[in-house]
Amino acid sequence: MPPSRDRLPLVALPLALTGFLLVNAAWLHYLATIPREKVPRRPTAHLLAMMLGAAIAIGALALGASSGSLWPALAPTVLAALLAAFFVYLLQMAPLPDGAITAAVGQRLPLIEARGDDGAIHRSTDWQGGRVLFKFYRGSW
Amino acid sequence: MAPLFESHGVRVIALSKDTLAQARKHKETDRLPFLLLSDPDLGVIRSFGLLHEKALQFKTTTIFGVPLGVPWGKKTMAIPTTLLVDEAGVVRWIDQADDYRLRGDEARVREAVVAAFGSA
Repeated sequence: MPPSRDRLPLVALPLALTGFLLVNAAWLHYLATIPREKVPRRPTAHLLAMMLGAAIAIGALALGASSGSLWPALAPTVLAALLAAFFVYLLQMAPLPDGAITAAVGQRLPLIEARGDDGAIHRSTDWQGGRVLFKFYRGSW
Repeated sequence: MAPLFESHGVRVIALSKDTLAQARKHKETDRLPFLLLSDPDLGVIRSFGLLHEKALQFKTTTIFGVPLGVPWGKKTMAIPTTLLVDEAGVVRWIDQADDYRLRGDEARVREAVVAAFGSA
């Protein structure tokens, strides 16, 4: 027996929560890859799960609204949509700028002068005579 | 990667916008065996043309015992870049990251070290 029309608002909330939970599960799974340095180059599965979760929540909201009760599903739907949108924003931020690097292969390393974790000032000119792998990194979180 | 660097006599040095205190803490937590340089006023990073303005920063937060990298504000920092420099102070290889989310590729570094300094 199909649910009667006045039962629909009761379905809307659990459905919206399901969508919300799906978005959150995909987010948490993605965030857990970061400290493990296992971030996927193209997180398609995460993105699809979030889109699906947001779609389910929006569908639930529409269902609730059509049966005269908008409110129960509103909060989880808005949150699910915002979280999914934030993920899209995050991915769009991912590409790094090229910068205008002043060093070039085949040329001398431009001077580097900075204080080291040993407290001393280090100059790249002091490293001559040895091979060096020099890394610019983003820094502590 | 330490054995590769050792066998080729390559010293690893890393620089970031971190303060001395942050660099020391990072070295201790991650047990880094190499020298960390501190460039809090971004002087070196700027002079190398490697400024990434207002980059999204992440922070590791443990939730229910699972460490998560959580977006945590914006900061100006270096574009992750690796340079291989020979005994004469000449740059032999430059590698720039194109996606901040991804870590450096060991195989590429290995290839570059071998290409520049032979297979020792």
